[in-house]
Amino acid sequence: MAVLTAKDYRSEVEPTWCAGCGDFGVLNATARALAELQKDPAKVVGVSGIGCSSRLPLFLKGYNAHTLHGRAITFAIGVKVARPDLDVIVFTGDGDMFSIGSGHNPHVARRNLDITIIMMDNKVYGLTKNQISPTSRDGQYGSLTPYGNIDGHINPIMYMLTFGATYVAQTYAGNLKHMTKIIKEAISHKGLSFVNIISPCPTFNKFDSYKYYKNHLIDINEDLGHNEIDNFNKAMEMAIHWDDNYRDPNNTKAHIGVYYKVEKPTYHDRVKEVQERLGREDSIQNLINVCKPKAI
Amino acid sequence: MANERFDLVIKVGGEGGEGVITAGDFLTETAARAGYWAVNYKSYPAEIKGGYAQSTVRVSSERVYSTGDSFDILCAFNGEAVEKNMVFLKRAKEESKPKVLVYDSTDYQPVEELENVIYYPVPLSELAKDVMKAYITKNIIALGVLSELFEIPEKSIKDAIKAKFMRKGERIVEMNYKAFDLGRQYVRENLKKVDPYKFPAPQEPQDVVIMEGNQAVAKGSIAAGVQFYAAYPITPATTVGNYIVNDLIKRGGWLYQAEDEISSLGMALGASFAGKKAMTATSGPGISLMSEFISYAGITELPIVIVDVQRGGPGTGMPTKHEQADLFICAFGGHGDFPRAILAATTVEDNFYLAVEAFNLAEKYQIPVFLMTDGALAIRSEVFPTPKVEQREDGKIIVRGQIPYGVEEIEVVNRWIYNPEEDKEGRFKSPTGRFLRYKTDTPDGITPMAIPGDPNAIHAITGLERTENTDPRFTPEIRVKQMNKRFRKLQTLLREDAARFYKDMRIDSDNADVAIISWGLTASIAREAAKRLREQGYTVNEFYPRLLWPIKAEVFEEFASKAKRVIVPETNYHGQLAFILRATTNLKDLISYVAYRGEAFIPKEIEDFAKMAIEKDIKKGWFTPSDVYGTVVGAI
Repeated sequence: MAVLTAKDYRSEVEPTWCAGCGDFGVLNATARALAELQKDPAKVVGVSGIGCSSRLPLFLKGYNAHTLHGRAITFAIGVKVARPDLDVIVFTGDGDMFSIGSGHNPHVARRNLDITIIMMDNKVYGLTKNQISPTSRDGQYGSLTPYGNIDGHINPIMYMLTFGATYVAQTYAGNLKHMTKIIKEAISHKGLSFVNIISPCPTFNKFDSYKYYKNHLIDINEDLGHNEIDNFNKAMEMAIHWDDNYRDPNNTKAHIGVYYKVEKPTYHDRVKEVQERLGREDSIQNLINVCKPKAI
Repeated sequence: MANERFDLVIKVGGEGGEGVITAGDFLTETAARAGYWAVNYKSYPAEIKGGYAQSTVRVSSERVYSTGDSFDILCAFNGEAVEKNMVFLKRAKEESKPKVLVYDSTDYQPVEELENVIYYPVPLSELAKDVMKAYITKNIIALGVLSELFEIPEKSIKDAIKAKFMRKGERIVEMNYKAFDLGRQYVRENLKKVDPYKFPAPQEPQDVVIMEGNQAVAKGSIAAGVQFYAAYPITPATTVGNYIVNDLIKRGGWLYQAEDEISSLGMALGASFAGKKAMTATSGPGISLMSEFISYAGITELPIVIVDVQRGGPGTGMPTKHEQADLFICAFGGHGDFPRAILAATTVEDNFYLAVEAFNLAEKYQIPVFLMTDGALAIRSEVFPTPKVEQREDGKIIVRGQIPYGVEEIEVVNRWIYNPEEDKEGRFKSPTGRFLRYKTDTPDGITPMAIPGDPNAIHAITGLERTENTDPRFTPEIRVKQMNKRFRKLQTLLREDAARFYKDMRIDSDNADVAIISWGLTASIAREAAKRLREQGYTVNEFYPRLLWPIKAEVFEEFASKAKRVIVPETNYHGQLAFILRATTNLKDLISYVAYRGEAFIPKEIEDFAKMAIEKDIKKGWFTPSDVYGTVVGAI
């Protein structure tokens, strides 16, 4: 097969995002990561829910599925369990994954399905024109909360660590190089990988802008010396630390880097064990005949 | 021997955990081993532990489809079982045949002698505790008692006992034989038979299976080639999963226990998109949760089978009770307009074959297909002729048997997968070479699918309205073409497949006294009512469609035109099938006859209502058994 370039992973559909949307960067980084890994586009399945970010798979070439709001993970699990040979990547957003779809997160993680989840975190509902999301900052204006956000936020990194994800990282849509590296690692990781991508929304979230992140990012691996990435406690400590940026965004920095990476048997590894233990039955008739009165 | 007709209903009742259900299972298996047919309706306690349980077994020399109006013999393991059935025992005085009460005299003494009831006291608990020194053998002693009293073939019943216990070793089999013999001996030494009931001598056993309703769904799905099953526990659907899990794994598939019903359908659709036959089974609340994904399956044209084992609704309703009130949600649930099909089983045996058909329709038309059954069918077991599955070398699978709705055989259908070799002229390719998953100009509305991994037909799917090559687009022209394409599939279904589900129709007369249209479990009860009406000289036309959506209006209209009145018995409040028929056909004068008490009809209720309708010249309206009897009647 000829060597594929990032372009070969893009579909004919043109993105519909606003100019300056961070999701363009995520799309580019994903195409690059796939090209660097030389994945067969016919065997990569991108699955998304609903939202600005969830349009992404339509712009990629592959057997992709744009599904229901909050339900990408469920569909992706079906694809992966049915066809473990496929690379399955979920593209989602902060509202899609941590509001309407949050019930699926613990279960995909605890089972360690070999799926990659890429969440584009713009801290706002964009497609419905500016409502606060579970990752919105205190005081953030939303059309349904015109008095400013009083709801509190969740920390996606802490949640996914707690739920049992075996690869957890955060990156930034303005840093193509870092993003590509992290996405590549996540896709290559055997088990559930979760990548939170800080993806600015220039239209509705004026605070979390490129300008802001220019001076407010820190690489946890390079700059903070977080190197024991197989140590769960250290990863949690680092994730708790990420919360500081929510509380005091002007004086503390947002993280990029790998929090946690550990190898554990995947769901499919355990499925295979069970399948081998139970064996095969080629005859359907035999499975019906067990309902006959037993021969004495 | 075969010409000796017999038909007997034995009910066993007692405390859950005393082997009541097992005793019923033994009687059912005994019937099969003795060459007879049987239907066994089980009623588990609603409580988690303990509570009243009963098993009603009807054994007959002919195929039977209901457990009848009432029992002939009640074997009461405790006083509660007698009290629960007192209403029926008291009714014996109005009936021609006597009722027999075999009861545990250790626990219960009758206060009054009821008219036309024959009493056989047996100290079941005492015999189990004091003689057998094993209380656990109480149900086997009872079987011995029943065997001696009613000449239930000893060898057949002992074989059933052995089949159950041989796994546990010879000693356990011997202990149970001893308990069985003790029951027989007690009868010989202490009781004098005064009732008329007895089993005929055993016949040559036929090639039969014994399945529960949910088991039949599972086995049929396996025959259809299901590869992925998403499960979320819900009464009374859970056991479809219990029954399918090991078979599925042995056939190379997998059952995934989801975190909720929304996920179940999402996962099953993911598996379907990935190229596998997929299903999920749930009950009403689960269907409500799945509605959004049902709609998504409609627009993305993904084949999927959804089994609805209905229970009493609404809300949490009556989870362990029978009802057929989900027809509306299966026909109309989910937002927007999209094609779908509904099959409904009338018996356990139906469940098996209709599971195969459900996959066939789903795979052929790439639509969501509902297989509707219910909680009573779920746990009832039936003896029926063994289905035969032929797996040909060319990969074809043919299912045969005495298919109850009158088709000869079912060939398992697999979805149309795009093959560039068959598309040399590029019908399904755009000028730039893109795969046209949703080409709008095929005459039947069906277009080939492609599965991940095939480089020739890469495409995305979306729940948005889209072009032929799946790009989101909402122009009026595209919208109308895509809608028409999707609904053309239903027209094709009506043309090519509906007839096979409309064969269970009987026309006695072109101007019959009464016609009955019914569905689901109620159909199997209506069938018996119709038979009795016929025996009384009425002309009765019957129609039990297995396909409930889409509706081929002319079939129903023609059927209805041949009778003075049409009764549609069903167990829901609205009269949901009648409602749908009034909306989709020119039939406005239908008589809805409904029960919504959480129990199935008994044949007599339909029989009596039909006679009332004939007598009073009723042609339309909405009626319940209270209109016949003036009071709410509990059937079971």
